Amino acid sequence: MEKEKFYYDDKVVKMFAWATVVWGVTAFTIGLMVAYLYWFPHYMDGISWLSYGRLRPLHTNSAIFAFVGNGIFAGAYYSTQRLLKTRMASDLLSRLHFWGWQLVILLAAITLPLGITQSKEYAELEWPIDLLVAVVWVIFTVNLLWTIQKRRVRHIYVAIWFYISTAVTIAMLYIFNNLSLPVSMWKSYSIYAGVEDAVVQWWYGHNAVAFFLTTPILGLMYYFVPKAAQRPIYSYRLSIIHFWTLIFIYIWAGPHHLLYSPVPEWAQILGTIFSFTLIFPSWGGMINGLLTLRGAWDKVREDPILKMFVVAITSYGMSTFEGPMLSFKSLNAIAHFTDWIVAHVHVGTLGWNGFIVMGMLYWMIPRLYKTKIYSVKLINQHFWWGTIGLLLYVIPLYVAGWTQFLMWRQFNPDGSLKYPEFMDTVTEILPMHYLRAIGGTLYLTGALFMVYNLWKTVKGRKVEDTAAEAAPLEPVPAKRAKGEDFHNWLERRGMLFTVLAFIATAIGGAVEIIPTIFVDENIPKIEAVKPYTPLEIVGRDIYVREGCYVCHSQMIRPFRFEVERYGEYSKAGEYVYDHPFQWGSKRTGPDLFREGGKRPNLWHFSHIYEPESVMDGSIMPNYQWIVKNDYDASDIQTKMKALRKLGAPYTDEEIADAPRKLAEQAKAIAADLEANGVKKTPAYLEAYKGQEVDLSKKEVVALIAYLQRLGTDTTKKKETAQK
Amino acid sequence: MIRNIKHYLASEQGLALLDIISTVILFALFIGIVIYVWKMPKEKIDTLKNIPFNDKND
Repeated sequence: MEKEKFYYDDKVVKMFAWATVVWGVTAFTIGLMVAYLYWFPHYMDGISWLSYGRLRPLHTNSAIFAFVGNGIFAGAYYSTQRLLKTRMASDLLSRLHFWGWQLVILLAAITLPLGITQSKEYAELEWPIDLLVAVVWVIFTVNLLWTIQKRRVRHIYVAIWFYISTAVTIAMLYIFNNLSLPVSMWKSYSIYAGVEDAVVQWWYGHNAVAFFLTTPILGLMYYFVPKAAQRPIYSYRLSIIHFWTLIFIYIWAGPHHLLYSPVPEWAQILGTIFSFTLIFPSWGGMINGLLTLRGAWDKVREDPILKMFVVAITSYGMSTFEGPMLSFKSLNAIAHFTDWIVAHVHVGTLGWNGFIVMGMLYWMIPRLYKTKIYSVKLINQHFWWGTIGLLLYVIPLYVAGWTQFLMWRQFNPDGSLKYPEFMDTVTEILPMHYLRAIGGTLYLTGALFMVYNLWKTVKGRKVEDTAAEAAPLEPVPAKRAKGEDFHNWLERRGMLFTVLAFIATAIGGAVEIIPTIFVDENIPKIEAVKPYTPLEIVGRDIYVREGCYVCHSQMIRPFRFEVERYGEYSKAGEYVYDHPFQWGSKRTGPDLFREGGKRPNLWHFSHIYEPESVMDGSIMPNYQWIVKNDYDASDIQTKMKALRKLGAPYTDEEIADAPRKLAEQAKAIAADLEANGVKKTPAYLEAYKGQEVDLSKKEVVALIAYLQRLGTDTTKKKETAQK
Repeated sequence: MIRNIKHYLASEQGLALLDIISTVILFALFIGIVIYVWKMPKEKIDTLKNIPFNDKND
């Protein structure tokens, strides 16, 4: 057949590539701002939108969806067109995808600092933005599948299999995890509660790592590593095993984030089994990537791009060894809630994702602009600053994680906790946090070298679409030809391949989630557990807004050292009214699940205004605006109606009476504060500058109401029984 | 029927069976794929792994 001439759409690749650079530097900078808060907890005091609880989700979202996301799209658009010998199916869809995705990022950058959040990790964006994400994702998926349909290459290369699995699986995960009931334009409640919410969230959370931070990056690896090394992938056979087993197994592994929690035991076991077996496909992929360089190690010595790829693939190997190990209960008991997890995550993002994406940019951008890189020396500098920065970031955090665990579980000979003050375990690891901030600074500096280098490379040049030619595909029967290998046949059936990839990922999710939600016995009811009062709902929404879950867990594991420190371990039935769940995944501060009744209201008042005033050495930033601002309870009845739809048994009378009840509880707390001398505290004197205020209208009172309620439903009953 | 399945799944044996079935499916899939790819023809594999190099622009 005669060859057809066409042009690759390199302009959209360029747009995504530069967005990657810009958002990468932004994400690293926000990460550093957060890291330096451990060193200088008060350097952003008084600025609510720059507080730790709001910035940390902005950092994770910008790193994942803005930096890595744009990098994935840049690489996927570049490689897909070349692997399929065709231009992307629709320029309009490509542009809608690009601008829609940037709009999502921009909205996230505005709403998260404003405290507009669902407070579910990596799924913080509120429902209108979720809808936009879904639309943009559908645009990307349609464009990708359409391009596959109009390809000029019979067989779909392995890199594109990974893009396909990303497209279909992320759509499924994102939609199911973000199902929520809106109560206003910027507020909604998750349709799932407590344990169910936790299972769905970590099914999503773990697989955001799997299908956003791993499978598409593997797609990039399968294209860009062979291209940079100028040799084909080591084993195509291994890539088939890698792909199908990885996507099938990954989706089941979510519950390993919930070991020793009230999640049903069978789900935890499934999570552990599948997480452990995940090591086989993951290491298969790593070996495949590294052995592609077999016989080309002399090139690695001289080519800094290949060096970056080697560090990336090694980091992938390390984090995918660590992940399965952390899913064993004994090791999980040590690492969970500690800085070990933060180290583990950053080996993945800074090492695996960061270096693959940045190596890809160095390889791709000069080719897009039809030129050579400005300075190879500067890439080398970037490589070393980045690698040393990565090590200096993660090693101290591993040490910090072990230290935390060892201190938390230390007992005196008389059976009491050796470090009963959580604060002791915080101050002990501060030097590790200082080191990690320095490590992060080195990593960012390396990225700035990249910005300069790429800028100098492209200065004064323009991207023109690249011309190419290929013969159109001759029609062949859809049926398998005699003697045709099954997988070879499947590789030329784009839609069937997509459907099978979707089924492979959907099975695990269905097996784990459907029984958890629909089998009532998984979450035994506790009679004593009642829905939140109107004021507590307002307080809980403030807790959610401020992102308290990023530092404080609300889940006590059944260990002696946890029960001794925090109280009775958590039961599934205690969370049935928690929309969303607030278990958290890290303890920079202590667990708060049984905080209710532990300390007086006055202590909380002063602590929220200035933690150090009641807790020596505290690194919690001041949350002064909560003390100064009035709460908004104008929509409390709408909220209660929404929560009733989700299962909270509020009666019509309770909803009608909510404003009165709310004011009554607020006045009682305000009266208690005043009776205990709140007006003489530095917090009160400084916050209100000597003016008389109605404390019962302040956000702090609502938050205190919520904190004092936490975990008391069941313990109150016990105390009564003991009396 | 769905009620019966739901009832069985709610029992300890049902949930334990779910774990076992899932694990068996996993290993069967894994071993099946390994055996399958082992038997794939080498010539075809060599063509497929070279797809990224069919583009002369890079």
